[in-house]
Amino acid sequence: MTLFISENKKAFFRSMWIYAGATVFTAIFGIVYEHFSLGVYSLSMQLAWLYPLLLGTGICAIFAFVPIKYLPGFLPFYIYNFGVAIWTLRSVFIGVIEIYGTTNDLMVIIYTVLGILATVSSLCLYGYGLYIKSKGNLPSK
Amino acid sequence: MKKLVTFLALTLSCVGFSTYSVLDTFIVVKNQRSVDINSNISFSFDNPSIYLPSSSSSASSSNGSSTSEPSSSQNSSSNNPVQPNYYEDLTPEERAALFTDEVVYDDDVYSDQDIYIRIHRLRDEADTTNYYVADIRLKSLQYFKTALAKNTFGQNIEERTSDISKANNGILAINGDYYGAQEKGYVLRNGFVLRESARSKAEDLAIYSNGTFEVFKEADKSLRSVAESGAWQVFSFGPGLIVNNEIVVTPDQEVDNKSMATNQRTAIGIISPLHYIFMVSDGRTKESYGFKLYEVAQIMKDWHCYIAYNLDGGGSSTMYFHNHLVNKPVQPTGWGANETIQQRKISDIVYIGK
Repeated sequence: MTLFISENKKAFFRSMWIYAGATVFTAIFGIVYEHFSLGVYSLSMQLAWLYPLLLGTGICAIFAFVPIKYLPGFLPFYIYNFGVAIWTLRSVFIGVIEIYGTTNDLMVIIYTVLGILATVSSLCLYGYGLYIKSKGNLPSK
Repeated sequence: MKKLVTFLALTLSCVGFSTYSVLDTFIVVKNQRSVDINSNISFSFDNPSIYLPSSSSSASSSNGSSTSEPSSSQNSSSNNPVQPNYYEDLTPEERAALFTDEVVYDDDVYSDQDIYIRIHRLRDEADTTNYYVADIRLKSLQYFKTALAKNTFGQNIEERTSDISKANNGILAINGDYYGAQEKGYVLRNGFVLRESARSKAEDLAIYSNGTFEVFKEADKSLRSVAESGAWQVFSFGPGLIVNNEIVVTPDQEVDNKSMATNQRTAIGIISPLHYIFMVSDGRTKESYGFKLYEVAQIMKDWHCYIAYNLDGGGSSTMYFHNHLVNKPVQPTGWGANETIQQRKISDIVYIGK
């Protein structure tokens, strides 16, 4: 049972930089997209980079630099990454449809539900890992 | 290995879902209904004969060219029970002279027994923007029609304005409200109720069987009630530019407050029942910057519209008259390269035709 707890901070340090790159990419994508949008703008597109910055780089930086004893294992962390990706894509998608002047409520709802599911389930898995660890059933690694 | 599989599964899920969401929004045809709104029309028109010439005349179409130019005078007519302050510059005899027994047309004029259209190619006072005003007089509202791309209702069903117009034998056509870009918003065309779901903030235009216009909010009325009041067409774009002779947009107002200030525009207005104005402006080019909504409202006011309404603009703005494009619907590349004149494919048109 090493799925839930990891004490390897290197992975989070590496992920922090990957998220930093994703933040820059998302910001550039938004700028380029709005350059072609003929003056129509969308707040969702403009602020999409905040998701990888705050939920990605920020959280990874906390795990990388703050002395937290038990870190998430790969499964909750991957699912969390999936959630951050969904939130970012949701913001970009809303930006695209707003700039085009159309709507797709169903897809936005699905993005939102997926984002919530991924984020909450990753937190639950991490919490479950901590719980098992606290019971002494999970060997540290 | 387990990590790799998990990573790949989640990544593929993201990519796949994103791709599907884009396809679902822009490509997949949805809510398709085969309704030919240009056939089997059984609509009852309240012909407002009080506004009509008593008989048609054989006078040349050019007779009306000078009389239909905008004027700064604000004459009011006492014989209009609907809107007492509307501007009407012609006597019934002069109006009668606009309609010709035979079809007369050139690049800017069309006239027959029931329809008179004159296109005015203009440039604004600030010398920044080209715009085109179609002065339209009809003997019956039945010639004020709309058509759908491929004669089919639904999202992501699109055709060029010219193609829709040709398919329906349109004489003059402009782009409509691009209903297909929205999932909600009233759609009533040629008397057919096509979509009743309301957009909470939408401001619509209804054209009634007696030839009058009304601007209303979808939150205030159901489409069914508007239809029962005798609506012939309902457009869901907006905003209203002029209501009861007053400009109702602010100088900085924009569509959903998200668009650039100057733009290509399409607007329709009413001077009096069966006397209408279609206005289309060029924009987004060095030759023609485009208009703010407020500037469009001012132009429509100058043409003495007592109600005017903004339709879909930007790359959609198109005026097509008698088998030729009137405006220049450019689709800029964004890299500063030369723009090319190219019509955008849209969902619907407003047209004058038989």
